[in-house]
Amino acid sequence: MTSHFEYPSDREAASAAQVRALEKLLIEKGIIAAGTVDKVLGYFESEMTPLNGKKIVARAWSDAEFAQRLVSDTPAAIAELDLPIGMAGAEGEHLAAVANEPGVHNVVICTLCSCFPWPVLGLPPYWYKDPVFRARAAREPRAVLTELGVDLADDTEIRVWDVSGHSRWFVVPQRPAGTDGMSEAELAELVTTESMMGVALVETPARS
Amino acid sequence: MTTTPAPEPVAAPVTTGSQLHPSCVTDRNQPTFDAEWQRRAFGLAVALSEFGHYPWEAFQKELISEIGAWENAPTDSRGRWEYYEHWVAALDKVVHRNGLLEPGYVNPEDREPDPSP
Repeated sequence: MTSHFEYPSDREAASAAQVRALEKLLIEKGIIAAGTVDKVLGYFESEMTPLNGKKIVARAWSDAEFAQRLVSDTPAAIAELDLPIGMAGAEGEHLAAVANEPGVHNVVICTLCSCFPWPVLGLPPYWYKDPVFRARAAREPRAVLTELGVDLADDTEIRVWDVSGHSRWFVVPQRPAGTDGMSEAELAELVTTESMMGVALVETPARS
Repeated sequence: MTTTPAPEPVAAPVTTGSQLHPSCVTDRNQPTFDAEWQRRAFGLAVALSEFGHYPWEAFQKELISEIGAWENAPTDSRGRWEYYEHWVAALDKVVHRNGLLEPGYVNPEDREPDPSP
């Protein structure tokens, strides 16, 4: 794993010891079982991944009526797809999609902490939780997007969605040109996590 | 072990210039933990909520409060930003507020050996 920030080892040791103590004591008290944490982590790491989001977006690009249902009642629309069991739990009931369209670009951030649409995107990248990113994306989203290489027309409206425990927003990016006739599986390959956060666009695939 | 580590001086801004998010150039679809304790802290907080020991919002409230305290502290007295330290502090609080553990818990690893024969 890459370490993105230097991290004093004594503070790290203290945090690591505290987590170890908490888990051991909760097991000792019978509040959780010995394998509970691994089971939950395993579920997150194997089932709650951006693969879910990619499939949802590809369906929305292929089926205009689904795309409408996805925005109007996100959990119900997602339930139509063959996605991992348990998508409705673990905050899936609070999923909410917003669609980019000509003249409107959406971005999701969490201003206060790190809420994220886990079931469709997995866990957030480290920079999503960074105080500088959270503050700047709220204050000057256009400048941040430009730095990230997302150049929008001046008259494109940028809508910033603050993810919370009650509304776990994710973005349905615009389908790129040059993708006519592609299957849902091929389309899903084009969709990136960043595009579903609104910090990237989906590029037209290079001609092979 | 519940002692709070001494604050570390802030050495450098966490992000600089246009190198805001290097990970944006690729599609990183794996959870980003720098250490196993961060991963376990994440799993523990979610597991306790999933099994009904507190609503997720209760954890989230503590996390917002921990992060807010860091953000509102003077830059020369707060430690270096480390997201999972706030996560662990929030976990500790929500565990105690919900009566899951008594205050002053001692890691089983650190206990005195049982003196009874």
